[in-house]
Amino acid sequence: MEISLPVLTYATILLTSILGLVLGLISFLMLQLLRRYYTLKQEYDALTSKTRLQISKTFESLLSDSNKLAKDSQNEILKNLDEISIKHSKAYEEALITGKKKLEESFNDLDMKMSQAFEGEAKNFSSMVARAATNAQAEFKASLEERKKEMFTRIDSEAFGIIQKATQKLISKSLSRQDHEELVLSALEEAKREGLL
Amino acid sequence: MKDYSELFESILTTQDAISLESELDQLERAIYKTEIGAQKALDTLVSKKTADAIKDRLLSGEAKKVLAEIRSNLSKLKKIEITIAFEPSQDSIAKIHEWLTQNITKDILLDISIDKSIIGGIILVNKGKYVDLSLKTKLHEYFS
Repeated sequence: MEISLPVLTYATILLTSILGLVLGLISFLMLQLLRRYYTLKQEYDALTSKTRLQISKTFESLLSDSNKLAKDSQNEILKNLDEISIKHSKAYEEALITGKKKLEESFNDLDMKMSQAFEGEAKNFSSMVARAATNAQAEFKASLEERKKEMFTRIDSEAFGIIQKATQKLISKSLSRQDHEELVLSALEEAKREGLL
Repeated sequence: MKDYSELFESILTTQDAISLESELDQLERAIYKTEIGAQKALDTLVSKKTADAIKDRLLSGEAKKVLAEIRSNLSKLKKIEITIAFEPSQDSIAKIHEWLTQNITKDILLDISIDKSIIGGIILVNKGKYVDLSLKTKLHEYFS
């Protein structure tokens, strides 16, 4: 079937008019939607700003409360600490006094024991020193005697040497050959009598 | 010794013995190694005392035997060491020698040393035996 041009033209105009009407409707609806959006947005903004203010206030209040609580707690803790410190100080002081007393008692006891021990040691030391002094004195005496003996021996020897030299000089000067001969012969006779030969 | 008693009467010390040995050596050399006769050797080389003591036997032709006997007798003399404090005369030596011969042993020879430090007296060493009879030792014994 063949469609005539006028029909086609009228159909096209109709369709285009319908399309135009639809577009116009859509635009109107869109515009209505936009208006609604803006209204809602304004409402939302107003609502959120109010809520924010409330939250802020609530937070401020909470912060203030918590600060106050913290301060109170701090004061209480400090107070408790002071009390504890005082108690501890007292206990420490008491412990110190008790310790001092005990220490004094111990020292007194130790002092007494040491005094006794020292007294005993002193007695021993004294007797030891006395013994050592006696021994040293005896040794010194013996040494002195020995030294005296040695010195006397030396003096004797030296004296003998001097006398011998003097005698030698005197005799050698005074003895004649005949005297010497007589001395020799008399010495021989004497030795014979004594059985030395 | 018996045959040469006259000769050995004068041999009192080791020095005398050495002198006699020296004379005997000279005599021996003169008689056997030179043409000097025994008589001339006796006259010129030895002392008169020695010459007189051995002259008869030496000239009788027994020179060698005589010299040997004298040497033998010399070697038999027993040495006694003495130390005295003075320079002895021959007479002093003779007196000491005589005393020792009569009282200790015969046929001795004195080996004399002089040590003035002993002051006086005598120190004897005979057959290894030491006898100190010096004045020095007596003084020491007196003072110690």
